[in-house]
Amino acid sequence: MKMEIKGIGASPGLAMGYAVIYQKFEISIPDTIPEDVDAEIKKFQSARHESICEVTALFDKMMKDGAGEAAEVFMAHKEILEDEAGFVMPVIERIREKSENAVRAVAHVLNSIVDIFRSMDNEYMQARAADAEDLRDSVVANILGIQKPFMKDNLYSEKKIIVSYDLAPSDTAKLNFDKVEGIVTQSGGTTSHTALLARTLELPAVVGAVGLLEHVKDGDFIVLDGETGKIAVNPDKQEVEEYQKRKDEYIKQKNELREYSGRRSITLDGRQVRLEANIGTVSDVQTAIDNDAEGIGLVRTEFLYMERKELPSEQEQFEAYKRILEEMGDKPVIFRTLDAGGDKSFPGLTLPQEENPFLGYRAIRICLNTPSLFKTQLKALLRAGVYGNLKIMFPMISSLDELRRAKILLEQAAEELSAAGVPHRKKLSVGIMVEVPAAAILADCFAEHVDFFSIGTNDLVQYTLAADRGNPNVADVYTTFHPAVLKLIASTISAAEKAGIECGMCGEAAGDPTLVPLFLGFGLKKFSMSSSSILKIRKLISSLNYEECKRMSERVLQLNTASDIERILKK
Amino acid sequence: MISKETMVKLESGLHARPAAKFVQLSKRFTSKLLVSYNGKSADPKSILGLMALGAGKGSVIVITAEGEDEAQAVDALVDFVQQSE
Repeated sequence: MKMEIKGIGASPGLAMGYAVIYQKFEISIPDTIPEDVDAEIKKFQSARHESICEVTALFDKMMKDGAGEAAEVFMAHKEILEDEAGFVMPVIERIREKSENAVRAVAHVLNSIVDIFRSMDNEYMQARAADAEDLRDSVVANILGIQKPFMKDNLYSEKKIIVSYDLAPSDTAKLNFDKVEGIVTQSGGTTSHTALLARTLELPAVVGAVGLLEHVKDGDFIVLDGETGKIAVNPDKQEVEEYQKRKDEYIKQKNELREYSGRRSITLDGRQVRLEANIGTVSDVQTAIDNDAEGIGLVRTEFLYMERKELPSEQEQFEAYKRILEEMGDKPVIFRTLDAGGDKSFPGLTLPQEENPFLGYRAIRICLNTPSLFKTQLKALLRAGVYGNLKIMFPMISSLDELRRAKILLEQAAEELSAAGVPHRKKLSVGIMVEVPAAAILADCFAEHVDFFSIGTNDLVQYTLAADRGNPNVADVYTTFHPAVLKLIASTISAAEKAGIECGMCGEAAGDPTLVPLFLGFGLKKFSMSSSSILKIRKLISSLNYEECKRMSERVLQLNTASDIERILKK
Repeated sequence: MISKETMVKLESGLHARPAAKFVQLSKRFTSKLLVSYNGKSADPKSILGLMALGAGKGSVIVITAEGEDEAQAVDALVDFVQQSE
């Protein structure tokens, strides 16, 4: 059946091939009581040794595949299988004392371990619970002498697309990736094991594809787009040809762009700018580094607050921020403080239902009203700042008074840390997002009180033009090419330049090849965008002449309509 | 018998990623070893016991060793948890 399924893009690239479905292994525990206890124990021991050999082989394979971090998991698996006091003895005891068969004893012992790990309030241990289940299945399969069903290697000799509910670490490790083109899972998010591994191995992957297993059968032809999350099942010939063209184009482009990694972002006439990445999770840092980001221009700290009932503790936030800073070394990392409200609500924060959420209680407004929430985040940031090049910026600033109050709370957070003797960053750059027109209009005024600006184009456009960016009925009103928006951007950049402070941009527009020459001409020096755009934009910058862009931008500012401007820029 | 109190400085805690390495280190010693935390004790040669102990970063634990190489064992294990990875 031909159809389309939408999931979450987890690892970029286009892949096409035949579906190979990996079902979760389900164990059934036999009711038998062993006649010969010693023979049953022997059965357990030889199954256990078989499993040890398997994980050792997996460890070696992962090391060879260059997935060191994933390999570590198997070192722990081996330790568990060899754990006399925690695993081997309790199983033998149950077989001997309770006359349980080996399968039941293994399931019992490892299930109780799974429960302990599950009860620990910690993402890492939750994942280890899945590991223990995985080991249980492996030993049980060996006791019963059955093959775990994920080795359908001979079914399709090449061009395989792995289709599964989710993949356990041992599943992914056993796959022969030479023949695998891509991975699709029904569950999981962009930080799941599958997503992580797919990115490491540069395999296109889509996760969270709801309805996947219901509709896809073994052998279905599948095309997946790891960027948009789109999955086409059994597309017709014409579509396949189109995908093939896009895929070839993608690969060609990717190889061409690789050449721009490690280079400076500099125009033909020698104007150097910085290209940075916007990130939304800790694991995005790796993608930013892979794409040679010259810094992180925007960390959306909201990821810590999502999909959970309680607010993240200072310690938890500190650890996440620290990892980001450490991984980026001495490159600058700009953290945007919590931008809740608008279209982002979190279970841990009770926010009122509002008629106009984008014009309502959001971002800095919430933080200034809830100092404890705000200070917890600021303290975590200041502590993490010891480990890297930390910068902090406040979102949605519309008045100097808000900025002043935010800075006072930042000072208080620092003082409280000093009083408690907690090491933290003493000197740091503090900036604001320029995304409310009021801030853009008063840019020269704000410039005297901050170390940098970051222009947030998405909100600046919607607030300047009074057009909801998510409302399809006003999509034609919402445009970055509008002269009013561009004038605000230009004047913000020149106000920063006059005051001698840095000015960057972190909205979608910063990675838009049509607009980049214009912003460059306005004098913008820092562009922050999604990692996948960086090399593309560096290539573009390398082909531009700054003086020409400057002249062009002056001409653009003389135009009065968005359509005229768009026409000139697209030429 | 030797006991030493120490704080876990390992970034992800003793129960998580470093557990396997801690166990491998413990197994190098012949002494009987014990790690106590929060009223519970575990044999550090058993990874499951160690993980279930749940000693995260900042936990104050007591490491006890009894046997021929007790002094070296306690020192090595204390050194291990004192690293920040």
